[in-house]
Amino acid sequence: MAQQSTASYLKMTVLVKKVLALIDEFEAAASEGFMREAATPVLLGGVSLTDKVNSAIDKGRARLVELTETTKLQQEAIDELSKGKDELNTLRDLSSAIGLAQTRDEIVQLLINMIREKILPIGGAALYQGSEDLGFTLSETWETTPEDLAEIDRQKTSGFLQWAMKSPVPISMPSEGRYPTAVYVPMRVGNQTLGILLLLSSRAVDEFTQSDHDRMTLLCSQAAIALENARLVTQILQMKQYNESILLSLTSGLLAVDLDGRVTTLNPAGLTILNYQAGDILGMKVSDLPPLAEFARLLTEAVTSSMDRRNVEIQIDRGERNKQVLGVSVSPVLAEGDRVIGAMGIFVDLTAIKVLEQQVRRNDRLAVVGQLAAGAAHEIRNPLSAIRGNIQLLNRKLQKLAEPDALLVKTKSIIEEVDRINRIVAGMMDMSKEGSLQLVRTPVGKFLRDVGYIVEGNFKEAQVGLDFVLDETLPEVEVDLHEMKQVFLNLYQNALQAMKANGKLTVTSERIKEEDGREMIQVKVADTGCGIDQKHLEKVFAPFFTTKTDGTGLGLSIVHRIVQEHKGDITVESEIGKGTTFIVRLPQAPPAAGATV
Amino acid sequence: MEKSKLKELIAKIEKLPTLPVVVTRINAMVQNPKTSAREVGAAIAADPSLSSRVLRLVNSAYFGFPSQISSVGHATTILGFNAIQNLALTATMFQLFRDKGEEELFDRRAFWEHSLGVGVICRMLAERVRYPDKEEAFTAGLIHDIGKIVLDQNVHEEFKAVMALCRSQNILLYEAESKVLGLTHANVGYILAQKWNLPKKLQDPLAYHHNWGLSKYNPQLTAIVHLADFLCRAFKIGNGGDSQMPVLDKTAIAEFKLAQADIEQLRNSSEKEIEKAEVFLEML
Repeated sequence: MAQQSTASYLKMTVLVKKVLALIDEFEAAASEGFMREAATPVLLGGVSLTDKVNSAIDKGRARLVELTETTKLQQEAIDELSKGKDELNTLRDLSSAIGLAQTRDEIVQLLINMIREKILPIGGAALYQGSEDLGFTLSETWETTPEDLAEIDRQKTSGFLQWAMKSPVPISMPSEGRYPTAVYVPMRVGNQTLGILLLLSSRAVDEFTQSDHDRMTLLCSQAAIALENARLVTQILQMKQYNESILLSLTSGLLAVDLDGRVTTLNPAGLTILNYQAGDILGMKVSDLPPLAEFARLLTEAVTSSMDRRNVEIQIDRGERNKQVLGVSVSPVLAEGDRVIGAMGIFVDLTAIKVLEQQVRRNDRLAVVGQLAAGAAHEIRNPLSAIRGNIQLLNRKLQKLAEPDALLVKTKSIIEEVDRINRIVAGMMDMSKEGSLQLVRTPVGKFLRDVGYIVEGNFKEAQVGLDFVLDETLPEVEVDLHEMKQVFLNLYQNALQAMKANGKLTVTSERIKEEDGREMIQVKVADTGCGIDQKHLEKVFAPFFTTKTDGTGLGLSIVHRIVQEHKGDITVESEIGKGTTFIVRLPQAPPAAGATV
Repeated sequence: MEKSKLKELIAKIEKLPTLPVVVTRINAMVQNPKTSAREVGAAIAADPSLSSRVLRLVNSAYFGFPSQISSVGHATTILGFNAIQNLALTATMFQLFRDKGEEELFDRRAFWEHSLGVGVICRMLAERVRYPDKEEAFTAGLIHDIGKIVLDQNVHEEFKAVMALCRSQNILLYEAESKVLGLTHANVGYILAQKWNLPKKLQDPLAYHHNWGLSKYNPQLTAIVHLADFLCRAFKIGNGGDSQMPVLDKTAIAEFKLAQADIEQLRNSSEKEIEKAEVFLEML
């Protein structure tokens, strides 16, 4: 029994040792990631404990592999996520940076930096710009060595550009320079290729992934949009500048209004013509500016009728003394689809031309009347002297009668009337006289004052002042003194007749410059009389025009004729109740021959 | 048609040739954006015959690339991953559905000419409506009628009845299919697409090119194939098995805004484009 038990004890011990060894092996396997199997054979009741342990090891290994795989997958998923986030950030950075970038160079430099940092290693870069119709040409290179440039040049001749233009993906081609690969990335906006970015990269030609393609395409289309925006902005700025310089250099005025009739544009010439400051008129309604009432009406018509109107004359009315005549062409401003968005008018100042026209008309009329009058006067004089001689004879006979006859008074009256006719006829001949002028050099002050002495007495009697404000430094004029005295005698006397007691006649002389640069001597004869009605102003120089009951209506015609003969001109300004000013302009005398200065 | 008969039919149809592992692998690889062109090239190179067919297509006048491309990896960085995937798929399909020398119920040459014509017109329409991937449109057109071949090969006897009905009553093939079989070549195309796990974008045009209204996933491409199929028959390019004009879905093609002049232009330029794409037929 003891022997048996000793034997079984020994057997037991061996078994226990084996089991312990098996456990050790399991532990070792566990610590090595279940990568080896247990070898110690342990049979227990006919069942292999070793197999059981090995199956456990297998399960452990499978689980471990699964775990590792899962972890790997999770890690990959996390990587992918963070990469996606990275890409989002990249795009956001690019968009915001590109939002600030203004020029092509800034945009492309940003793009290159982003690609280099986030996508692939790149060396030099080149940008081709153009259009699918016109082809692409190299517009700029970045960070290139001469060697790179040679490679870029070589790539150009390969025909890949044509291909890349239409390709939906970036394409990479083998390169011969120090970089193995040339990548062509089309820069697209919508369906249109605006440019192709050529990148020299150290990455092998087939090492690109879809993600590389996608990210490059995305970045480049972002940049393409920015480039297109930059180009459009530049284009618009240039167009704006061009349009502005056209407006600036126009000598005609240009005024544009929106549909409300508010001024949107008025060019500098227009400001000068209309005599406004830009700040006072821009944004204002034209109809709110009383002087421009007629202009406003034309513009409104252009908007409502959508029709052009050419060369319309309108008046800018700023009161009696300040009237301007404009020649205006108006047209509606059309936007896309012929929609009317406002109106514009182009205008020139016709005031000076109008005045000239008036003068020419008057001169013509006076010349014809003058010739007619001269002819008539000559023919009237002869019969008139016959009538006067005979009546004189009759008169003498009647005087000799012892008893005064009632007819004597009649004949006297006839003689007086005939004399009056004679004076008129003489005046008429005077008015149309085309004799040669006896020109002498003289300061204007001389005859202005001389005539003043003649009329002094009459002025005093009528209690009217006579004032001379003369510039004694004026150059001399060359005039026929007798004729010129007649001019001012007529003007002074006319003035005197127009004034009541306490009136005042002021005679000023000054030097002015005509628009064409000629220097003239200007004499103003200004009274404080009753003034001349606006409707009569134009006619005052016409022969036989008079408002006085006993005037011949020839005085001012003669004045006009004489001034004209002296190559000067005469105008009149007048305001009812305030007075009338005659303005005589005479040319300076030519420099005296042999005169020493 | 009873249900049990239909089930039997579908069971027969489903005995399709399996898509070669290499194409399945490429499909899976392209799903991963981190796959490099070199890896795709290596996968295709595992099948030397596929690799050489893909390279022949890549270097053909159809693509007209200015220089010789000598590796599929490089081709991938030029044409893009999707295009290479589609090329591998097309090349494989042409291989699998090549004539088996048995009795054919319709002219295969004319059938493939029709398919090529639809593919080319799809590509041109894709450009016109700015569909993002022209090559995908081409592939969709090329394989749109693949179900007809599957029917001819897998349920030959039944398909014989279909053809007989189609010819005797002069009706559209898919109407005859529907009457005789209870399903159409479009349904079969869908079964194939499912089984081969084709890219989802290609599944809709296969399944719904006669029934645009049902396309939910990619209606634009489905409409392109629908119209291209119609135009191809109008232009009399190849033969799809019947000689009828399919019914045109007006809402499907509203987007194309085609005028008579556009159709003339499509007809003229399709001739030249089909010539360039003849290389696909050479693989048969």
